[in-house]
Amino acid sequence: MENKLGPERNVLLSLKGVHKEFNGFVAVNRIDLDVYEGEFLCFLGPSGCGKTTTLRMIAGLETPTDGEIYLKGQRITHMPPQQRNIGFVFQNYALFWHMTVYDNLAFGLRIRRLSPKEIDRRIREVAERFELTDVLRKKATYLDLSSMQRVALARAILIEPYLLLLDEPLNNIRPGLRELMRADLKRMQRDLGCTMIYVTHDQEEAMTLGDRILVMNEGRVEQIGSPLEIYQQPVNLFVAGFIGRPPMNLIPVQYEVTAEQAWVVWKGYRWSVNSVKEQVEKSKPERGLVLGIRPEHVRLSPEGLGIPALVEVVQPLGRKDILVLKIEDTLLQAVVYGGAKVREGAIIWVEVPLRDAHLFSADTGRAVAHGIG
Amino acid sequence: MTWRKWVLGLVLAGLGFLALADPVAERALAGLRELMNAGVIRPGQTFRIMIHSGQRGQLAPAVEELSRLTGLKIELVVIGYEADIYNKAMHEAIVRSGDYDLFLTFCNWIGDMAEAGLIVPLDSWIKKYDPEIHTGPNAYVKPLDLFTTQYGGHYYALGMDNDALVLFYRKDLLEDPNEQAVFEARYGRPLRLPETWEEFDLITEFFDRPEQGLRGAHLYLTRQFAYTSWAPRFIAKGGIYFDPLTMDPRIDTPEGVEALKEVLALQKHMFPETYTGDWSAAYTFFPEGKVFWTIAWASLGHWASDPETSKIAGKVGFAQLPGEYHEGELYRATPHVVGWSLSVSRYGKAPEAAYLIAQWLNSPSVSAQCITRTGTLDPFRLNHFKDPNLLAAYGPALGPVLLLNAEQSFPDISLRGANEYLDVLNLNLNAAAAGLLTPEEALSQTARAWQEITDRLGRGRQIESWQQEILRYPRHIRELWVKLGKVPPELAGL
Amino acid sequence: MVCFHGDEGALMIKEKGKFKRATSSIGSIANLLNRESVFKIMLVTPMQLLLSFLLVPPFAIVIYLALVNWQPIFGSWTEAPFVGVSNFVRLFSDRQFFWALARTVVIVAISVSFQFILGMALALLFNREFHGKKVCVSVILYPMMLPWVVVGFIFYLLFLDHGPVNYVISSVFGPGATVSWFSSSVTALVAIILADIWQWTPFMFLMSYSALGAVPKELREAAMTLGANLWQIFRYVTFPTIKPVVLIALIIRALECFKIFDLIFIMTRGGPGVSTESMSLYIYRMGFRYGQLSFAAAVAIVVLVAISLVARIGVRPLLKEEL
Repeated sequence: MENKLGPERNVLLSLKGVHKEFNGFVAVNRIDLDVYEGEFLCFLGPSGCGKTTTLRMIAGLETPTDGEIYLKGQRITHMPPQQRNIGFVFQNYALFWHMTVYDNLAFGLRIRRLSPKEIDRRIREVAERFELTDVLRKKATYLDLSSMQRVALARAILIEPYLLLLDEPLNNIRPGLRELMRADLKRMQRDLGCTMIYVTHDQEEAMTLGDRILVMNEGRVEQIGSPLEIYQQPVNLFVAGFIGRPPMNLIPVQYEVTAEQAWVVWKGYRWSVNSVKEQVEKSKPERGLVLGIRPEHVRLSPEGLGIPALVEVVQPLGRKDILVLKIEDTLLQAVVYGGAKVREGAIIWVEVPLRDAHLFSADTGRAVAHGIG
Repeated sequence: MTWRKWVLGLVLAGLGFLALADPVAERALAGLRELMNAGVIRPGQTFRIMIHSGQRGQLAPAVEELSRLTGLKIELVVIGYEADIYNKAMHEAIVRSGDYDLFLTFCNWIGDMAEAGLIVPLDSWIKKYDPEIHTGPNAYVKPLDLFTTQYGGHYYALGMDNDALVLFYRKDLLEDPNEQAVFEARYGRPLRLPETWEEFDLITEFFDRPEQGLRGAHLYLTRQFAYTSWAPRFIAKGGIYFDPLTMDPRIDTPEGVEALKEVLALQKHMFPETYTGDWSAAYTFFPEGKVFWTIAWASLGHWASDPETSKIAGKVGFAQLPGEYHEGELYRATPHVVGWSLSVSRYGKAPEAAYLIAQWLNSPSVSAQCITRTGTLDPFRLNHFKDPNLLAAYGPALGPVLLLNAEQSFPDISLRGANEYLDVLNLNLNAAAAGLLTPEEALSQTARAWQEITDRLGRGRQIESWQQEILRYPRHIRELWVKLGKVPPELAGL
Repeated sequence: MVCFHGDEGALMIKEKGKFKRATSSIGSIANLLNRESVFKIMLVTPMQLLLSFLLVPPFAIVIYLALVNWQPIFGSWTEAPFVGVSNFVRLFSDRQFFWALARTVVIVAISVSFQFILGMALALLFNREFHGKKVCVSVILYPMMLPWVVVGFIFYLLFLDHGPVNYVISSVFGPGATVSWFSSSVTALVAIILADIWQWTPFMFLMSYSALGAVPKELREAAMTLGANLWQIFRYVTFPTIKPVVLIALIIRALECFKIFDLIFIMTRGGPGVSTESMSLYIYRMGFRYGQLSFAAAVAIVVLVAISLVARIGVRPLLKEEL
C-alpha cells in the first residue's frame, strides 16, 4: 500500500455540519471536515472539547443531532457501527479479557465468516509484525500494557477497515515507553498506509504523530493544518497558546502611528510594524492588539542591547534551559540552548525578533499577522 | 351484630351462676377445691388448653368464668391450622415440655395420642366424678358417647362436639308442586326427601340445571374429605373397613366399588370444585343458591339461614342422609367427621385438676352455653337439643335433624395411624374423582396401602383396636353386619 | 508505657525511649491474639460454634432415625428398634418417591429455565437509560417481596374453574376452551410453575441486571465496531463476562426451587391424589402427617446425597471454566 500525501488526494471521510447536543449542552458545534485517504490526522484539544464525541460519531457509537457524515461518498450518518467497517481502538483497549489474544484478534474475522485457515494466516502475519506471536495463546487479562495496546491495534487492523480511529490509546502508558510506542505507531501507519484519526490532548504527541492536526475547543474547530502550519501560523490566540511548550508569550500592546510609521508599543519599548500595517489597520487595532513570541524565539542579546530582564527561575533541562524572566512587572518565558550559563537573579538582555513575532487582535483573538518585519 | 353479643354475654354471665345448679359442673368445682385444699394445686396456677381458632369464641368466656370461680389461671392456646394441632401434640409427646394441660383435638386422633403416651386414661376419674356421659337426661347423644371418648377399651377424652353431617337442601324447590308434578311424571315416583341413595341420585339429576345456574349437588371429593361422600354409601350398603378377625381391608369389595361408582357418576351434575376446591366450597356454593343440595357440617346451617350471608335464607331445609334397604328395612348411615374432644396431657403438672377443668367445660350447662355461641363446636348432649337458646342459634328445624343424624352416625377410623389410613383413602378417592384412577384401582390401591400400614404398626394390636372400635358403631350398623355375616355375633356386642 | 502495632502486627512497647516487642506474658498473649491468623479464627469462632450446635446434633439424630424404625405413636424414640437399611429399601421401592423426585426435577428445570431467560431478557432491555426506569425496576421487583403463601393463594384464585384465567380464555376462545386447571396433574403443574416463574423472575432479573451493569460499555462498543450484531455481542462478549454471576444465581435459585412446598401446598395440597407432590411435600406427608419420621429421615438423607452429587458433578466443570 502506498502513501498518498501528494496534492492528488482522495477524500475518504467527510463531515458536513455535524452537530451534537446533550440535553442542551453543545458538545460538537457544526463541524466541517474532510479526511484524506492515507493520512494521519490528529484531533487535538483540551478535555471536554468534543474531540472524542466527534470520533465516536464517526464510528457510529453516537448519532449526530444534526449534520451528515460521508464515508467514501456514502452517507453513513445513521448507519450502525457494525456496517461501517471502521476500526476503533479504545482508551483502555477494551480487549475481551475472557478470551485469548488469538480469539480477540480473530473476533472480527470470524464475524465476517472467513475460513479458519484464512483467519489463522492473517493473524500469524499480523502477530509477527506486532510482535505478539509469543502471547497468542495467553488470556487477554494476563498481558502488560504495551502488549495490550498492540493487541487492540492489531485487532482493529485485522478487519482491514477503511479508517482507523484511536481514542487516546497511549494515555495510560508511562512517559518513557510512550515515546517509543508513538514512534512504532507512526511507522506502522506509514507502512500500512492506513488512514488514522488519533484523538489526544497532548499537543506534543499531536505534533509528532500527525500529518495534519485538527485543533478543537468547546466543540468548535479552531484550526486544521499541518504541524508546521499550526506552529508557525496559529489562526487565533487559543491555538497559539495551546501549541508549543512552554506556551507562547503573549504581550498586550498598543498601536501607534507616528508620521507614517506604525508601531506597537509596550511599556517603554516599541516595535515597528510597517510591513504589516495594512493587516493591522484592517483588524481595528484600537480595540487592542496582542504581540506573541514563543519562548524558543526569545533571543539573548549582548549586554546593554535590547530589553533588560531579571532572571527569576532557571529550569535546567540538560540541553536547554527554560528561563522565567521578569521584564518590568511581567513574566515571560524564554528557552535558551547550549549551556548559556545563566544564573537566577542575574540581569540579562533579550530581544524579540520581529520575524518570529505574531500579532493578534485582542478583541476577536484572531491572528493579524505572522512574522513582522 | 355486636349488641347481640353483649346481650348474650350478659345472659350468660347470669346463667353462669345457674351453672352451679348443674351437678356435673358442681362436682368438678368441688373436686378442684379439694385439690386446692390438699395443696395439689395452688391459686393462680396456670393451665393451658390447646384449641383451634374455630372454638375460641365459644370457649373463651367459659374459661374466664372458671378462672374466676376457682382462682386458677386458665389459658387458651389458639392454633390457626388444624394440621398444626396434630403436629404440636405429637411434638409435645416427644418433647414432654408440660406446656399444655389439655388438648382439644379431632376425636379420631385419640388413638395416636394415647399410643404415643401423650394422654392419660380417664377411667378412674370418670368413675369418681361422673360427667354423665352415658346416663341421665343430659347424657351424650348415642353413639357419640362412645366414639368421642374411648380408644382401646379405655376412656381418653371428653367429647365436646357433634360433627354428624347433615343433608341441606332447597326446601322451596323440593316442595314446589310444579317440580313435584314434573318429577313424578318423569321418574314415576313422588318427589320427597330420599330414603335411599338411589333416590338421592335421581333427585340430583333432576335438579341439575346448568343453564339456570343450578347444579344438582355439591359433595366433597377433595383431598381432605373425599371419604365423607363415599363412606356413608359404603357403610349403608353393609360395608366394613376392615375384617374383624384379620384386619384385612374390606373396601375393595362390591359395596365399596359400587359406592364409589355411584358418587363418581354424580360428578356430571356437580361443579368440578368438588375435587379441586376445598371444604369451604360448599359454604359458598350452597348459600349462593348455586347447588340444590349438599352434605356438610351443621355449621352450614348458620351460614345458609342468615340473611346477611346467604341468598337463600328461609329456603333451607335440613334432612337425614339416606341409606339402603336390606330385607325390607332401611339402614341409614351418617359419617361423623372430625368431632373435637378434650384429652388430658400426661406431662401437665396436675392432670387430675386438668381433667376436672375439662369436666366443668363439658358439663351440660356450661357446654350448652359454649355451643350457643358461634363456633365449630356443635350440640352433643341431649339437653342441648332441648335448650331454647341453643336451638334458636341453630334454627328450630335443624336441631331435631341433627339429633337424628347423630344417632345414625358412625366414626372416622380412630385406630393408631388413623391419619395415615384416612389420608391414603382420601388421596386415592380424590385421584379417582380427577379421573386418574378407576374406582377399582383407587380402592385396591388403598387396600394395599392399608395392609402395609397395618403390618408396619403391628397387626396384632391393630386387630384388637379395630375390634374395640367396631363396638362403638351404632347398633343398627352392627346388626346389619351380623346379618350380612361381616362380623361374627360375639364380636358385635349386641 | 506506650503500646502500638509495629511490623507484622506485633505489639510494641516503648520502654526507656526504645521500642521493643512485648515479651511479658500479657504482652505475648496480646501478641498471639494480634497475629492475623489467630484473629481470623477468633472472628469466625462464635458463628462456627452456633452453626455447629444448630446443625450437627440434628443431623446426627436424622441419621439415627433413618436407621431405626420409629414413629411418635410407638413411644420413646430412644428405645426404637434398629432396622439397618430397611427404611432405605422401602423408599427405593416406593413409586411415589420416584414420581415426586422426577416431578420436582421437572419443575425446577422448566421453572428455572424460564426465569433465567425472562430475567436475562428483561435485564438486557433495562440496560440503558430511559424515563421512569427506577419506577419500572421497583415494580418488577415486587413479586419477589411477597410471601410464598400469598403468591400461592393468588394463583390459586386465578386458576380456579370460575376464575379470571378461565374467564379470559372463554372470552377469547369461547367457553369450550376453558381448562379445569386443578383437576389434572399436568395443568395443575402449569399453574404452579407459572406462579413460581412470576414470583422469582425478578430475582434472576436482579442478578443479571447487576452483572450486566458491571460489563464495561467499551467491550460492547468494541464488538460493534468489529462488526458483531446484537445477538453476537450478547453471545460472545456480554454473556461470557456475566457468566460467573449468572451461574451462581442459577444455582441458588435451582436449589431453592427444589425445595418448593408452599406454592404446591396452597394450590393443590399435592392433589389430585398425589399427582402434584414435590419432594418436600412427600417428606412432609410421610413425616408429619403420617408421623413416619424414620422413613422421612431416610428420604431426607437420600435427597441430600443426591443433590450434593449433582452439585459436585454437574456444577463444578461449569464453574471451573471461569476460575
